[in-house]
Amino acid sequence: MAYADGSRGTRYATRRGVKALAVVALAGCAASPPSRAVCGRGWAPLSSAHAHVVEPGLEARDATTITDVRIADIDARLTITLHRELATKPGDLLVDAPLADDLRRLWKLGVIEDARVTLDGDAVTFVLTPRPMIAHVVREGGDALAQSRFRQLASTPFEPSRIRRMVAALEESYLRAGRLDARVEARHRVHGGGVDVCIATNPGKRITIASLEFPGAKAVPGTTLRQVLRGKDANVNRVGGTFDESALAADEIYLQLELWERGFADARVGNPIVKRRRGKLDVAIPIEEGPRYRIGTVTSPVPVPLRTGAVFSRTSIVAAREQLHEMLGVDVLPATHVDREAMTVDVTFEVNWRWPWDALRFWSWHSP
Amino acid sequence: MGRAAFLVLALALTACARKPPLVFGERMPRGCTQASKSERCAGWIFDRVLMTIAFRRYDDPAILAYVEAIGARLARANGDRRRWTYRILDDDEPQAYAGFNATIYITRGALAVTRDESELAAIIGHEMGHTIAGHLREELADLGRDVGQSDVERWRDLRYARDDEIQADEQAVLFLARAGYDVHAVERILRALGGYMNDDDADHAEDRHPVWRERIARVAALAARHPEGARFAARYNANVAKLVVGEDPREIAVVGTTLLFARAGVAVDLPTETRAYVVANMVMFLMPDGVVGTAQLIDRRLVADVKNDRVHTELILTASAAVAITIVRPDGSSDPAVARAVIAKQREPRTDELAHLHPMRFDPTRPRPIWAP
Repeated sequence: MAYADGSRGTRYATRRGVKALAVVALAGCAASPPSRAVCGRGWAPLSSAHAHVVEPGLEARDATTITDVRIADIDARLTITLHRELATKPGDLLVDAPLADDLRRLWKLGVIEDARVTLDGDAVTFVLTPRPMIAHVVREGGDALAQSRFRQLASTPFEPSRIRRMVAALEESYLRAGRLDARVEARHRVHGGGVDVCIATNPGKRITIASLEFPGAKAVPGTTLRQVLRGKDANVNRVGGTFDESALAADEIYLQLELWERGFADARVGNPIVKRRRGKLDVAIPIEEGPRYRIGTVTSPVPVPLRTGAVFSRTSIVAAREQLHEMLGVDVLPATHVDREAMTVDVTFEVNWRWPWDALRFWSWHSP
Repeated sequence: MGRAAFLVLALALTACARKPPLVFGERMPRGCTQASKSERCAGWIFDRVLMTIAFRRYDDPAILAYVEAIGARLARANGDRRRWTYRILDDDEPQAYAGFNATIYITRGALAVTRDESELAAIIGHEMGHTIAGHLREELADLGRDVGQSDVERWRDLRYARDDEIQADEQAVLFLARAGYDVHAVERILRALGGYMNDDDADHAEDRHPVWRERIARVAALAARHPEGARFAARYNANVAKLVVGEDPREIAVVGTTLLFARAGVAVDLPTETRAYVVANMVMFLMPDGVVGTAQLIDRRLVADVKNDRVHTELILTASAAVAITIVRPDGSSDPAVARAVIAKQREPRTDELAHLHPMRFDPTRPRPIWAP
């Protein structure tokens, strides 16, 4: 487009420059990492210390016979519920009373923060401190669904160990979804009205697998070994999918079986080596194939479809064992002997004859 | 035509062209396939499987409306705006489940052990608690997760599941308190369910629920902080007065050697030496020569799936249901000839036979076992 005067064109150029700057600035905002969700000042970590359940130290009154067992400092109706848990009863000698067991049993119910036993005359009193209540839950970061468990903590008893497990569960669910940098933090602050809990959730980005190789695998192609790994439907442990170390560990045996199937009886599957490049992972599972074994001598009471000199294969031995079992109607155990020098595997089918009946049956089966 | 209009038309045509697949005789919601993992689609399949394979719908609109009204009261009191769906299952076992898409399943067995409206609200509140607290989030994410899991992971997941149960119990107490119901109803219904199950309360590692004594103590401790509220026992009794309790002989019954599916309008006369038993939702019968048969009432829409089954099945079709007869020889193979012979002996139930089929009805005065340490 032609302009009548140069100034107009200059103005246009200036506008375009401003637009470009604005676009760059906006892109910069979009590209910069989102601010990390934190609870901020005034919040303390959840204590990992258990409430100190005071063991009864009443030895001085061992000879006392208990006349009454009470629960103090909690709601009357709850007292009735908890009283049913106590094995200590009036008439017990104090020395024999299962006070410590009772305290532990009460503690295991999850409703008390502290407990002690006092002796008032001949009466035993379990003095219990109920858990404080959660007044407010502050949530920072994370999606609404992930946070909904924590939102519902308000007006319930403050139980640090349970909150820690909830945090761990959420972190693990993020990990399963490939968010390897996920961090969830729980903190608390105590005030006159109870306890406030803060949950800061940073799911992080989804990290995917860029490459999945099997260094050392020569005779068995990587594509074959990749097919062995489970996770097809969940897009786990495959290129473009997410990495699951635990699932991979569970799949090690399947890789091993695949190698055994092709004669590599000494094959070793190493631990995965994972290298991270920003948002991508390079996964390498070292394979030591070792020599390829062949079938050596085959010892069997009847011919089996297993040929000396054939490549060692686990399934062919299993098939031969099945055939023997079917034919003889007895238990058959294949015993193998590996000859590393000759690189052969000798197979002996040990038959549990259960003398004399199965032997007779075998004889009659072979008789004309 | 503008580009936008063209795109809209193209999308609309694509939507028309791709019909959602049929699952057990019913078409999935628009945009869903069997592989969809969204809550809407996966939840639909879950509901379909539950309502056609695992359970049958309990057909009493009045009781369903009553359950819906209690659910609505709880949701309203808690400021929840989800569109909740309730399903009453025709099953005598007291159970309730939280499904996807804000669906709550309650068996008639659960209604039978309940003694007032606040207890039923406690059951609904517990399941609502699972949904509102997002406990199904991981379940949904793990759907179709075809990977291995270590023992430690399994143990940890069970521990987390127990925490979810504790939270759902707590939510039930809070929901009841906000809705003006008796907050101690949660403790009462837990004791009733524990009593019904006659549990030894041993802490089994594989159990997804905490032991009864822990659940009861926890809800009692939380309830102690709230005012009691109302039970509405008379209202409950009036609303569930017609509830069927125990096995319903009108569904399946054996009279002598005759199999009676009264609701479906089918009777089948078996050979005189046959022994037949009602087992769960089917009849198993043992014929003289060691042949074993099953007769099961199924949803009419499942007929196509049954026909594709490897085991030979003969069908007696009615308007809404089908009776599937399967005969298995001692060697495990199917026996189509005997199945056809059994089918040939079908007829309509006689009036004198139907006269014997009276289900037991809800009786609030009937004592229920209560769990106590």
